Amino acid sequence: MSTTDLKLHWTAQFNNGEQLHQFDAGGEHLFKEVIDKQNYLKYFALYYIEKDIKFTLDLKLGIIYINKQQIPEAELLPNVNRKNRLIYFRRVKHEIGSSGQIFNTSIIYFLGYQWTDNAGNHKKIIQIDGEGNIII
Amino acid sequence: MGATFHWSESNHIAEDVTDDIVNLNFVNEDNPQKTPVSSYPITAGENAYEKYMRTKFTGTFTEITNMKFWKSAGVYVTAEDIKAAANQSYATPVSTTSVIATVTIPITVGTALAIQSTEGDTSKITINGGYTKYIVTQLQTSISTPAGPVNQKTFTFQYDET
Repeated sequence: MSTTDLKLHWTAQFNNGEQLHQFDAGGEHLFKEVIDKQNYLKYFALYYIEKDIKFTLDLKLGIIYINKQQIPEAELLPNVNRKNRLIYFRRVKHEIGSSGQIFNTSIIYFLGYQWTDNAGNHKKIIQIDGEGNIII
Repeated sequence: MGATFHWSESNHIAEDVTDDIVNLNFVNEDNPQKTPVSSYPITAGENAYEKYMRTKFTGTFTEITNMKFWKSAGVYVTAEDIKAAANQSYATPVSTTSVIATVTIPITVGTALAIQSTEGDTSKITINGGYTKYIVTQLQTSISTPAGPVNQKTFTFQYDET
C-alpha cells in the first residue's frame, strides 16, 4: 500500500472571498468541490508547507506567482475577457520490482489553465516536482 | 492524503486476491511474492506462471485517469522476454506459453499499456475507488537462456490524480 505523501496542498479562493483548503479541520476536501464552483474561482494555489513556497494561479488574468513573484514564462498578456479554466492534477508513478524489492513513488504537480478561442484550445501549464522545483 | 494506491495479484483457480504485494517475482509457482526467486527456478525453455495483476485505489480523490503500465528498467538476459496484455479478465494462471500475454511489454511511457478501470467509463476511476482491469504478464525463456538469475526488472504504473 502506498499512501502518497503530498508535499503540496491546494487552496482555492472564490470571488466572494470564500476559501477552500484541501485539508482543514473537517478532513480532506475533494478537488471536485473546486471544479463544481470553477465559474467563481479567483485564485488556485499549491502550498509547499515545509519550504513555505506558494504557487498561485490568478485564473482571471492567467498569471502564476511564486510567493507573490510572477513567473514570466507562464504569463501571457493578461486578457480579462478570456475565460480561463483551471488545470490541476498530480501525475503519480509507482514502481515495483521483480527479482528483488523496488518500491518507489514520485509525484509531479501540474498547475495551469486553458482557454478556447477562434484558433482552438490553448494551455499554459507548469510542472512542480516533489521538492518544489519548477519545470516550465 | 489523496488516493491510496495498492498493487494486487490474483492466483489459483478460485482467484485468491492478494492486495499490497511488494514484488512481481516471476517463479515456477502460481503464488504471489515468492522469495527468494532462486528457490523457485524456471527451467530454460519454460516459462514462469502468468501474473494476473491489478492496481487498486482507495482513499480520498476525485478522479484517477490516464493510467499506464510499462517495464521501466532492467535488461533481459539471452532469450528472456516478458510478454504482457492489458485490460483482461481473470483466468487461472498457466505456465505454458501464454495465449493472453503475447506482446513484449513496452519499455517507455510513450508506448506504455493504457490501463482501464472496471467502471462504466473505463477511462477513469472515480471517487468510490476500485480496481483496474487485469494486467497479465509472463516471463518466458528458451533453451538458450543461460542458467542463473536474471537481471532485476522495474515496472511502473503511472496515473493522473485529482
